[in-house]
Amino acid sequence: MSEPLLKVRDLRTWFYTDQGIAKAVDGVSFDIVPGETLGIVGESGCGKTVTSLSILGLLPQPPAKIEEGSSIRFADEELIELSERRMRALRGNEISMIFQEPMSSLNPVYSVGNQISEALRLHRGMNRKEARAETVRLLYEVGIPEPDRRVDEYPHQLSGGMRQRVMIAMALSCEPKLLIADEPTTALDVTIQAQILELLADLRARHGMAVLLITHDLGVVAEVCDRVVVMYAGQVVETGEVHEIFAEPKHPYTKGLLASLPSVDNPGQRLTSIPGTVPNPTMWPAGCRFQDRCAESAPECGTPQALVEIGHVGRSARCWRTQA
Amino acid sequence: MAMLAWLGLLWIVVTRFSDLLEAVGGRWDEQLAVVMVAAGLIMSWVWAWRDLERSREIKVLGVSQWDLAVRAFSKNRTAVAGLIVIVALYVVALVTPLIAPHEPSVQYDLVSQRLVGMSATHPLGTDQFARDVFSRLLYGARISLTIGFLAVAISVTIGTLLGAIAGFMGGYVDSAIMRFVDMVIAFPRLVLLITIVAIFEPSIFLIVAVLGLTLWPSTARIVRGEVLSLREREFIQAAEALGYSKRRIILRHLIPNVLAPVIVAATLGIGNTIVLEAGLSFLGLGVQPPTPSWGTMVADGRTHLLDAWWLSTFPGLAIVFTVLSFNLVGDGLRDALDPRLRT
Repeated sequence: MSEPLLKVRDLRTWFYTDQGIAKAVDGVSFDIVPGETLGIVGESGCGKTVTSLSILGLLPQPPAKIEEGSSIRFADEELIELSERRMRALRGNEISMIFQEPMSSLNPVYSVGNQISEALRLHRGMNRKEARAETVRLLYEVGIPEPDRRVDEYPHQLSGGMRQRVMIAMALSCEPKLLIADEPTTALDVTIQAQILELLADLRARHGMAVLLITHDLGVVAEVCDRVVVMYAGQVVETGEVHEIFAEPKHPYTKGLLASLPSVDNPGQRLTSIPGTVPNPTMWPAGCRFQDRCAESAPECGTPQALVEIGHVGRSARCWRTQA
Repeated sequence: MAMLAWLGLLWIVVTRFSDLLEAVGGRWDEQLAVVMVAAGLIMSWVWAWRDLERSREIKVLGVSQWDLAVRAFSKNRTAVAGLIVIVALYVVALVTPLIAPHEPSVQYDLVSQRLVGMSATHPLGTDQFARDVFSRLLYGARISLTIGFLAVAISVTIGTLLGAIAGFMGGYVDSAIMRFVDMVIAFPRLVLLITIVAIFEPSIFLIVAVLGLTLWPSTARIVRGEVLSLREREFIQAAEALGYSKRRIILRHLIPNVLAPVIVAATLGIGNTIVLEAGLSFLGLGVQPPTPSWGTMVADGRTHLLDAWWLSTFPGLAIVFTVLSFNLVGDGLRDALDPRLRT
């Protein structure tokens, strides 16, 4: 494995609220090497988005606070200690992000070309004319038909899929080394979803950037990711290569997620689901955080579980059964 | 539209050509009027030309929200009527020196010309000092509209900036700004005005400053509310994720998105300000004689309400129509700019 591009170590992002301390992200570690796609999977409320916003330093502090001992290293820089000014230069330039809701992630009062050009002029110091030409090229690259006409259109004139493409073009405008995609396809319908994923995979291959894909959809993970981090209740519960996770899930939570996928093999069968919901982050259960919803819970689950490597580097799970 | 404006201006040029020549070398306001006429002539040509060009090519793409709003607005007849009245008023105000038949402060023969009713030489009669009411009304429009426009411009600028900063920054900054807003609102404006005017010499500048500096809190509140909801929208997050500075996000991404309610508030605000100014002038705290303003004209006329009704009636009507027009336009803009009401 080559030297990691992004190295997250023991990231703890806590929110200090009136109801207590919400440990939204509580000791998360993972690496991304250049050019790979890492998927972070988990239900809503697992801390996936907070993880990504922590990397970009976009969380309002207070109430959020990245605790002592957390480390986010990008290339050779410690992001947590970076000045706001340096961080701004990094955002959009080296690390870009695309969001879940393409309907509201473009500014309604500017034409799409205007918005992409703004990023180009700011980060790459282009003049108006160069920026426009580059914008048209980018729109073409993300598969928008008739880019020289579309460049003057406004967000409300584009469909959801088109807008997501525009967002991707914007994120790509400065050739970032890392692209964080927070549920990029959740708000799109299935056919468009496949196109956008294909586009992302294609662009990643062409530009050699790393992608951090955040999703709750294991189908999406299977399609584009190299490696997977499964998160539950602010912690990583399992990591591994995509094929390992799908073939041999170790953690009961991963098994539950996989079981709840619709399957072509058993048509007509009711979908299984994991009972209950993610507990409140101000009061995670002591010991294994999944124990209340786990089908296999036992007295051993009452003690905190560590993330333990299984077999080889990069494959691990947080469950005492896998260690026995 | 453009054609009408052009014809109107041409009429001025033709009928008052000698005045025009004189005005070139005259006072600053006369020179301004000449410049306005010239600019108006050119503008109306350019406009007409552009309309012609536009109608040749069918434009489908690049319809901005503004284009949609303009379309919605132009369907609202009363609002368009209001807008025409306002534009006409401002044009008249700017070219007043060229169209007013008399000087506003010139007194004619006090024996024969005092309080004369409507006639050909004095279209709206004369006042108790034998001055031409029509000319004074025109000059008064200038004062009233300028005060309204400037005061609102000041208050909207301050209000939008402070509101946007408060809403976007949140926390202590927000609390500090909003408590300041509460303080300004809590202060009785009329008392403040009377105090300030009592300390300083009353002047147009003072009225503009006082009105401008006391009217902004409502705008600040509107803007802050809008920004609070916009801040959570993803395009603002996206702008942050692209590494834009706070200043850039506020000025380029937030403020353009809150302009719609601000414009509505501003339009209605101009109407209010004109009434306020009239009220102040009526109380003798505003524009000082002999400078004509609609408020002072109404005030001066009240002693002659029974024997010379035209003194108070016409400036009063002028106030009513102007404010009415501004309110109509404001309502029209509100409907046009609100996507939910648009069909």
